[in-house]
Amino acid sequence: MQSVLILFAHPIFERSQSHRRLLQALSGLEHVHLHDLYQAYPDFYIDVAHEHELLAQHDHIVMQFPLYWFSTPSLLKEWQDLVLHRWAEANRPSLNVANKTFSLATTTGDPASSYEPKGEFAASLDAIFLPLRLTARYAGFRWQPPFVLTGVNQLDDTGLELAGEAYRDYLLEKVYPHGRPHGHDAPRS
Amino acid sequence: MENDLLLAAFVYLSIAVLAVPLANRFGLGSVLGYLIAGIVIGPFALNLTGGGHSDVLHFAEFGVVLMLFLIGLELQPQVLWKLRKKIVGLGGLQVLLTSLFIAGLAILLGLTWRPALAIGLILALSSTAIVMQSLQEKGWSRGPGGRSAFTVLLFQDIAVIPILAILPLLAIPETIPQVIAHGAPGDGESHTTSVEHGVEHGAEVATSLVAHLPLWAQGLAALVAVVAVVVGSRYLLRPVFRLIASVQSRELFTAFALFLVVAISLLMREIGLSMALGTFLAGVVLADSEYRHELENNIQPFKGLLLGLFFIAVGSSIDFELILGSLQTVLGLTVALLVIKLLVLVVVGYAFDLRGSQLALFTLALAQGGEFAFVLFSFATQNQVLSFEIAGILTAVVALTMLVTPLLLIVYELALLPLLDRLQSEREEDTIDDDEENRVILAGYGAFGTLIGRLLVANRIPTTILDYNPDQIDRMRRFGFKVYYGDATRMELLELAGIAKAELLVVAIGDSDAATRLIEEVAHRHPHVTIIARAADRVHYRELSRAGAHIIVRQYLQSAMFMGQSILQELGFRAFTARRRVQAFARHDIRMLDQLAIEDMDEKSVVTMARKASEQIERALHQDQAYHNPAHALELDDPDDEEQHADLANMPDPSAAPGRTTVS
Repeated sequence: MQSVLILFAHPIFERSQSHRRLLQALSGLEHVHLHDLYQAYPDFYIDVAHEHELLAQHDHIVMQFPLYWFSTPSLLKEWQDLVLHRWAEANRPSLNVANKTFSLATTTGDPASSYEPKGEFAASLDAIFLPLRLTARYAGFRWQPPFVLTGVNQLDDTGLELAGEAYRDYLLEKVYPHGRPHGHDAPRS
Repeated sequence: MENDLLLAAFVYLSIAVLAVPLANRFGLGSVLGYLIAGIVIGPFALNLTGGGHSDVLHFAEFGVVLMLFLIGLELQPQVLWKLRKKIVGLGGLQVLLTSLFIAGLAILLGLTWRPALAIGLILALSSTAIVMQSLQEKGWSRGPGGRSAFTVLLFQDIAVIPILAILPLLAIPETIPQVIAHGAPGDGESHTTSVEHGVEHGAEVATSLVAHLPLWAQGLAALVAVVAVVVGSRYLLRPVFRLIASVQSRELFTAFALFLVVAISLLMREIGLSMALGTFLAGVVLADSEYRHELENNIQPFKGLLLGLFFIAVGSSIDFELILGSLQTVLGLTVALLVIKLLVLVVVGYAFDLRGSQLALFTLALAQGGEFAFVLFSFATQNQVLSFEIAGILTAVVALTMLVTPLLLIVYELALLPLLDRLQSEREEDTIDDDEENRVILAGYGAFGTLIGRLLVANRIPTTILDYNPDQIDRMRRFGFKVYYGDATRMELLELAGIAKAELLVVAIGDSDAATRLIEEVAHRHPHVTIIARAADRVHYRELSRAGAHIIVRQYLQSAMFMGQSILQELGFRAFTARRRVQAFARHDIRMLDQLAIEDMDEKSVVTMARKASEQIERALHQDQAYHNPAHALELDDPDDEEQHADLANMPDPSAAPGRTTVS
């Protein structure tokens, strides 16, 4: 059993249907700790020591955010600048034994087709996530495949519901990487 | 004379102080307490009133006038306008049906139609004083049942005027000698002196200035007077209130408030209208005013005292000799009156969509005879409509029904209410004046509070603002704010402003000690309210924290920090760096203070500790600055010096630089 830290960054969360539904889907999940960065640091003044404590306490780190300009919202970038900078520095000799895993949970307004080789952006999501992947590796985290929800503007209620369930399953995989105990494996209707 | 007055005051006050807490203790409510107190000191028990109870009653009736003024203050004109159909329909139907049934019974009992109709009209009225006092005491006045009861009472108040006009027309010539024979003892029973007893509801046509005028001119005068009261209250009173308030003397405000009610009452009396109705109207007009809460605050004690006195007087005026003399008649009539009223009320209440417990409340509350009856019966005897015997017996009956009302309401509360609520599975919520209960109450509207108020209004958050500074109020009202004049540190004002329904109380008043006391009280009485307070300094911060404030902001911290940032920038720091230094400082400082706030120590040690904390911060930040970050692979510039923060709490006690303190 692993503990999961969700670094959630959404500057206008109150207007986001999709992230509200994703977060609703985690309610009641044990060992998943939601850390709402825009709520914790409205003035962008991040408490680095506190963030280090959180990182140390959890096994798997998820950055959950809407994709802004093929990147993270600015506070999450600030978080990387401050927190990971010191984290990497402090843990440098032992980074490889930290044995923590890392993944992204991202939503995009555009449909998945836009990120295909012949799509609008002509760049894959993997390519877009490369800087984050490098960052994670540099800070000593093992990268794991992201949870991506594309075309959120086109999703209806059922679509959002399904997305929430998929996200819940995704996180349960993180909590129980070696198979879930009884009661968690049945998919919710 | 003076001694007598003092003695009377002593008797009345002492019995009230004894009886009311006792009555409350047994769950009887203050009205019954007062009535019983009146009976105890009345001529048929201890006989301490010295026969002057009718004067006292007459004087105390002014309490009813004050009460209607206060009721008016609670009722915005728009609300009153919305109620108009209900007032006329519900009230009119109740008065009409009750009058007819009672008159019918009277005819069955052998009276001719004229006195029977007079009795019907008089007994159809209920007691505004007892009903409203009881309902308000129990907190039932705002539910559907209480509201409906109020509309009926309001119609009855209006109906008194035509009833007074009709009564003389119902006179029976042959009863004249009897009436004269039973005149009030004392000064020879002239028409005008006994008429003075009718002064309460201002209904006395005979004393009014306009009595000699033709009917159309009287009507015109009445119209002019009403318009004068409405227009005057609306436009003339505001500047006057402003002037009075700017003197900053509470006594003066109280005096003016009383003067206002007395003046309107006099005007109404002279014009031949109901005093209670006139002051009620003035109250309604002033309900929109920012001085409303303060007016309520100031009039409330007088109303309470006078109403109490009124109830005592009613109690002591119950003629037990008469009742015992014709016990069966009086009791029979009392029951008959109650039954007729209850039946009519159930029917009209049901017709106007009252159901279940609310219908029961409406019915039981209004089942008694009213204080108008005392006046009207004496008026009717003077006008040779009723014989003194009949009037006497019926007055006793009315008094008894008044005595019964609190008992009926106890039955309602203890037996009917739980029963009906259980039966009525989906009971409708009590409607509360939601136009008045804002989520946020902002206490204190000085320079600090003004900024907060503007922020809230800019974000369309309805806020109730309380302050004592008339200049501020006037200015903000021009911007369309809902600002009330009043001492925000008084708990009563906060209660009136709806603290019980508020989510958030913002305390931005300048007087630190008053703010602390207020927060203590609110936190104690309304634990559900989140209190955000402004602290004058660190010591005050700690006091507020202890008092129960949930969020405390030091009034100078942020502005000093803004200024500090400018200073650092002027000294050559880059803007972002200056901002970061300021943020780091503020965070340390707030943490230290929160720690200090929870530790148990006396005030002197707080100051010492605060000073030590300042020095620690100073040192920590200095080290932060000295800390140099070696270059690393990503070539990030050191964005901030945060590492030391975690260690701050464990810093050794620095003894260096005693006496130096930093800004907070």
